[in-house]
Amino acid sequence: MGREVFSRSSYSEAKRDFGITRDHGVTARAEQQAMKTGKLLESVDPAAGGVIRRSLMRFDKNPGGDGWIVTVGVPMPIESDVDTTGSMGDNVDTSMKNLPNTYELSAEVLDGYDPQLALGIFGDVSDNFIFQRPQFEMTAKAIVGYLKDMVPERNGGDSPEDPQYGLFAAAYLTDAYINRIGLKGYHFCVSDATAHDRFTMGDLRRVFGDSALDVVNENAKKCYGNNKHFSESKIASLRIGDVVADLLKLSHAFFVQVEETPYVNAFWKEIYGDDRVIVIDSTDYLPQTQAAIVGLTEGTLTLSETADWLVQHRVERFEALRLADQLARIPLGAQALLRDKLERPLPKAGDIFQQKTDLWPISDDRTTTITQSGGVEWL
Amino acid sequence: MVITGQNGNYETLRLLGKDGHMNYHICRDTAGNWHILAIATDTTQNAVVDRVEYLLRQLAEKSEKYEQEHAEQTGSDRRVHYDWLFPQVIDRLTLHEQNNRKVIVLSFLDANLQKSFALMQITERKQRVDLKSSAWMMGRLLKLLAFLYESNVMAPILTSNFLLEPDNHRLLMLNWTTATLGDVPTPAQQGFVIKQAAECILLLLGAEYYDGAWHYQYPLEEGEMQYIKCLQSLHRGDYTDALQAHAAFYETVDSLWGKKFHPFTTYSISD
Repeated sequence: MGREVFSRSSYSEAKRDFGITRDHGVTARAEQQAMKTGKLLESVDPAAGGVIRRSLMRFDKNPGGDGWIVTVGVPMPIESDVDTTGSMGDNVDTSMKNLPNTYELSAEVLDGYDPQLALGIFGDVSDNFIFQRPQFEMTAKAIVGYLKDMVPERNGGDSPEDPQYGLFAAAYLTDAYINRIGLKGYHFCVSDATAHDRFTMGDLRRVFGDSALDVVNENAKKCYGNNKHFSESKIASLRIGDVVADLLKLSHAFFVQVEETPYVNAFWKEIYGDDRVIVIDSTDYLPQTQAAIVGLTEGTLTLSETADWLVQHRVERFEALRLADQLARIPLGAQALLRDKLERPLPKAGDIFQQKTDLWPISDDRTTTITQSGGVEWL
Repeated sequence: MVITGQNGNYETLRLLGKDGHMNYHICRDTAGNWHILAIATDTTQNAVVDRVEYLLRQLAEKSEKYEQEHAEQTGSDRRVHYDWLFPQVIDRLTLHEQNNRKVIVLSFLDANLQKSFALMQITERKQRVDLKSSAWMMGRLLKLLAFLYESNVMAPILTSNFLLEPDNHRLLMLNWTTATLGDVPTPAQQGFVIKQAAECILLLLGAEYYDGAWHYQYPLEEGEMQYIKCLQSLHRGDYTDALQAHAAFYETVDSLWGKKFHPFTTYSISD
């Protein structure tokens, strides 16, 4: 699977190759294509590519013997579902413009990992396409490629929108190495509105295809055990809160609310909890906000340095201070705590795996966490 | 045990207290200054250390801002010393040899930690403070609350959270783990904590709670019942704004005793 990662030069090259010369209207061709065919391109169609999105370790064949060499590091899935209804309609353009920041800032706080981005969008059930989901990708060519293939409809119909199928996909249609070893990936739902708190089999099939339920059940069993099984009636009684509760078992999940609207804030806090809803003024600051959340959760960024870190990455000081105050509430160091519980150190580039499907490298004599022991005065 | 931080070395001395999130040790830097070393009880509490550090640094910034505003408004260089109301974070580190537990080193400006003791010791040793001592203590608590609310911070006022430094008339709030930074505290929230503060002081005065109110049974000099009534009023929830409560409280205190330094005084609860 190679060792290429995102870079600014490869981003410029990819945009040039795809004929993207402006910051606006980057999805124009895909929108025209969708109008003609009534279908999404495979790169963003949640029903395509086997429905499940995978975040896996990248390897090269070991030239010196058996096994496979890790090329970059532990894959870290970062998925976001961004609202593209109404006033949020320009968000794919914004995601394209912000992409270098999105990748680089995440990579900065995820030292040793292989950040893999799935930047999806959602609309309303009254739209032609409720939800669009790419694969987890890590190269500029692939990410620019899927962003330009998106079809933001910019409608919405009414105020509550329909991000729930994106949350459903993240919870039940994701297969990530990071979960297999006991850590979590990241998920961000970004919107300025509340949601319709309902799921229907009809919409589930519209989004994920006719075999959706079978695929969901097969994958959910792997992620959550045999007790997790969805029937058609269970889908009808499913609520967003149930889905987010499951999602939180696999991901450090957050709702990023665009603009302060009290009833929207109350709606999402009820679902995510007070510590997982962050308000920003515009999606221009989304890469910095997401990366700060990741850094604080990983323990690579401390709360006291967060405001300065945000300012250093071009967030206005006033906004940075406001953000830092909100970030003080999130579960700080949550990933670090999970890492402390691992029986082995995290695999790193250069480690050799016997099989690509193995959980851990062949051998590892690195020391594990120091625990309380004799000879050290315990404070 | 000597610990090396980013800004110096600290010799840890006796354990001062625990709150379930952090253990607090008295420590001494190489220049001989005394500080408090607060360490997470385990790595699950590292986030609490981070939050406390962040909150205290925010308070330090706010305090400095208010000093500047005060100087501009009054043209005076006399400080209002909000920075005496909370500890300064002077260092931070992660102790890898202690299971990666996080540490912050705290310093109370111009306070003598060697002469400080837990506020709870007063009642534990069957002592009670005199009225004038209680007045500066209540005044400090109301000033603290006014500053915290102005800074959008909520914190409970519990006797167990404070050290007393009698020589410099200081109440040192040690446990900040339950303080939260966020929205402007509502009048109801302010009223509740003002009530907590008054209860704390009434308890230290040796007052007793019965029939739904605190009663002071020790001898009073002329006019001093007015002071007790003022405390009872604060405890009843008559004030829902810490700044207003502070002003009203000092109106009573100044009219009774004026502005004079009064040495910290305690009596036995049986006297």
